[in-house]
Amino acid sequence: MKNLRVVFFSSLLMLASVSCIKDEPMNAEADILSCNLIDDKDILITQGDTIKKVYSNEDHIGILVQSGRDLKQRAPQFTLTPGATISPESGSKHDFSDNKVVEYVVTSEDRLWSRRYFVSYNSLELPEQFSFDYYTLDRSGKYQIVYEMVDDVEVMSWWSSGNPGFSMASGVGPEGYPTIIVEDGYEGTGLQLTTRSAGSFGAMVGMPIAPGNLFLGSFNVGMALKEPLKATCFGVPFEKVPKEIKGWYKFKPGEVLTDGNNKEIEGVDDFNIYAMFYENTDENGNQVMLDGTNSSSSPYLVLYAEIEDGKATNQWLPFSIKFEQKNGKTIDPERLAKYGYNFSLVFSSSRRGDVFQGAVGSTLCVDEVSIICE
Amino acid sequence: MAVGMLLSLSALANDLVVKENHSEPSVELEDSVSKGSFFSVKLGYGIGGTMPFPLPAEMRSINGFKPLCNLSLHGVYHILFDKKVGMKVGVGLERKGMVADATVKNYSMSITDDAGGTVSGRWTGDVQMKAVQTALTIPVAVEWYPSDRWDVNFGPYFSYLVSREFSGEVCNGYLREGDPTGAKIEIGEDAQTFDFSEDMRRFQWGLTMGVDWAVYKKMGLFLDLNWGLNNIFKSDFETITFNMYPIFGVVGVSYSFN
Repeated sequence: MKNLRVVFFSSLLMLASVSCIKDEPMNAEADILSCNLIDDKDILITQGDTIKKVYSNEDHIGILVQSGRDLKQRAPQFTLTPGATISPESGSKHDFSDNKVVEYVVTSEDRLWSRRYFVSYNSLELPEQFSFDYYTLDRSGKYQIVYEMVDDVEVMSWWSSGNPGFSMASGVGPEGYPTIIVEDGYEGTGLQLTTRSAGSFGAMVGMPIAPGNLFLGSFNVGMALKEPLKATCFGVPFEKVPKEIKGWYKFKPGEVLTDGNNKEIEGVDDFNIYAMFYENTDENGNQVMLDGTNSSSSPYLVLYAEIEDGKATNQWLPFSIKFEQKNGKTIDPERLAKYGYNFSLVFSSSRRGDVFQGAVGSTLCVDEVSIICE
Repeated sequence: MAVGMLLSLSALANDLVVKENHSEPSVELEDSVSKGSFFSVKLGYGIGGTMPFPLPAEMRSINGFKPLCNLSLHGVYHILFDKKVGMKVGVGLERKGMVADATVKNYSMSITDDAGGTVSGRWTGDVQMKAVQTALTIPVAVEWYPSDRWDVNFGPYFSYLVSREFSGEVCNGYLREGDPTGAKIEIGEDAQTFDFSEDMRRFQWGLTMGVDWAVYKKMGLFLDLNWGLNNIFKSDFETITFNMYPIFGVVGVSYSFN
């Protein structure tokens, strides 16, 4: 019997020992978490902005610099996922002149995964005319990314949409996403925003619909579930004073209006086009970025414009929205010259999409938009 | 498994009882041997887990573990070949349930809702798993009676799950959508749920090693270790990349009718 007991308990012991916690596996992630631009401090358009965060859904890193600067020997440094390596090396010198793009490859600590990043320095001004002619698919091929072409340079860092968030909720092809470029715009191609059902997954996480949206700024997909209103970061540096936004639109509301709980409510869906101009640093010089929580209420707003007379129409109609002062602030020319203000323009196929109220199927088409500046 | 263990244990107890009977007056022993068989019932309580084995490196820490009320009841038929050796076959209903809290790194999984919407990828953060299997089990084992009071047994068991659940939630971490280079989606205190119950196999099998100790003639105590040997998930289920097995110990009482 003793023997038996020995066998029994030693096998238990053996079991316990093989089921111990193993050594931590090496990291499988291969991200650039941020760019450290301390060496470029003097040439950046916003000088305090030497640490540039890179969101997990971004592959193109555009560093905005003052025009006329020498970009032949620039050495951006990168903070990576712990253990990951980058090639060419972080801090190595490259020629970024004439909008040259340098490709970096980040490889994970376990060497099994890698990501490509495209880094560029540019001093391109935000265009004042938008025709929505250019898009590319994201690296997973799931959705469109809208971009601008300036002097033969593709600039990915201006427009963003909620498409990366929608990709969680749906397995449809790129045309089924809320934000797409379509062939039949007002002139040539145009922008089409459609409020989509975010499916059962969206409903589960309290976001039953996904309004089509496009805005100047960046989308931080990391926050899309946690605090969705903070995922939409509005604004790019701008050194002109906007007066008015003009363009063409068509709008067809979806049939059934639902609230944030996906319950049918009375009413008809409406779209929104709005724009903001705000101080991009606070009193202490810290960066200010408006998002879905404060885009119309922030104390840093200087100018704000929103469409008021939008209507359902099958025909292209012109729109014009004028900026109004906010918070009694005036423009400081010195701040303006130093890119101390951010500008953002936002299109959404459901006006109350921020609280996930809208009608699936509401479709807003926009084309030939211009920013009229002072 | 618990049932299996119970069975084995009860088998042990039976054996023990048998032996006792045998050892006393030789007449009775011969009697019982000549009969060649007897019946027992086993009631047991199981503690264990449904887990990958060995634990994968993705499992960084186990922060909490709670066995559920894992009762089992088996009826066992014992056949004696001679004084020392026999075999048994049983049938019983058993439950193997647990809730475990773990911290994982780069753990392949998907977050699902009731209607089937799914986001899959690699999760780093906290995960709470609940695995409950209620099974109709047939244990078969060889029994060895080293002495009057002891029965040691070993053999396979075969289970059909009458109910199955593998569900849980994730929080305080992030999901890399698709693969480790995909979009990094943070999840805070508000947990998101997952449910893979439908992806579980109905059929399970494994091995049981058990010991029965006859406390009093017909009453015995038993201890079984039931070790699952086929993955609880169907072979086409790829969300969890490693196999998981129910591994449960069962203690209980047995009663022999002989």
